[in-house]
Amino acid sequence: MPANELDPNKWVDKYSDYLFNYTIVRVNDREVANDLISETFLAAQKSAKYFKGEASERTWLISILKRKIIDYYRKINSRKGQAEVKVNYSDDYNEGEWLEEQVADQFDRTAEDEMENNELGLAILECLDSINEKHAAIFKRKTIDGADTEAICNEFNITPSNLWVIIHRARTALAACLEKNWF
Amino acid sequence: MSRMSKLFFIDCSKAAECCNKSQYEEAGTLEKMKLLIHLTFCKACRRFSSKNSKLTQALKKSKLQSCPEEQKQAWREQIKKEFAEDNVR
Repeated sequence: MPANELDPNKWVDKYSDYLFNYTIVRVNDREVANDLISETFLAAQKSAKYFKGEASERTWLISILKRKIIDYYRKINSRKGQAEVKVNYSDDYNEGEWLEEQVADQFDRTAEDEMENNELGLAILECLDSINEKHAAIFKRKTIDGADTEAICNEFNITPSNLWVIIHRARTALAACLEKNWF
Repeated sequence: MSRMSKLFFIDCSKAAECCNKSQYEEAGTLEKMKLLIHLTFCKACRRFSSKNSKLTQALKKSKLQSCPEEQKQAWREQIKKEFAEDNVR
């Protein structure tokens, strides 16, 4: 009996936000990200019989998604042909100015920062997996989508004081989980 | 005095609620004031409050997005369809 089993009917509810946030920083385009995730689900279902249950469902899906992202870049690169890099520093007028251009802009947010923040986001989503499903959904609506308290109350048929109790539990659990796994 | 104290002093669970509301900019002025008064003498809530703002910062920094429900529904249907076709084969 394998340690982990696949349950494709739950993939969207459990992992779609995770996969989406993973992809969006890497391809920077919602349409493309959605297509890549569709392909990932399809490929995952097709090769479900090869899943040995050694990795978690999430890890397995991510490994397929990674291949899809790489394939995507291969495809657009070959379509573009060879990229042309033009360096024009021999211009008489601007002699020496290129040095200035080489200085790093300290206000520029680096790719590493972006990546680290994205990883933090993924860690948050992973932590949310361990709390009550409905509470996690309410927390996400409130915190990530920034939905109105009233709208969420109507959506889930709860009172505002229910909502704040749920938010409190979710935040406490999330803070403890991040404390352990991130900070 | 007792009416005054009811107006300004709150217990820890009420303080936590005010603290959570203020993370979403939904605490009123009176609530914020009550929270501040409570924090001056409650160490446990001070700790909670600072953790809570740290969490808010982290959430902001992470720039999480959720994908729209329609897209999720499309994926659900795609998976169901593929599943059905797989069983026919």
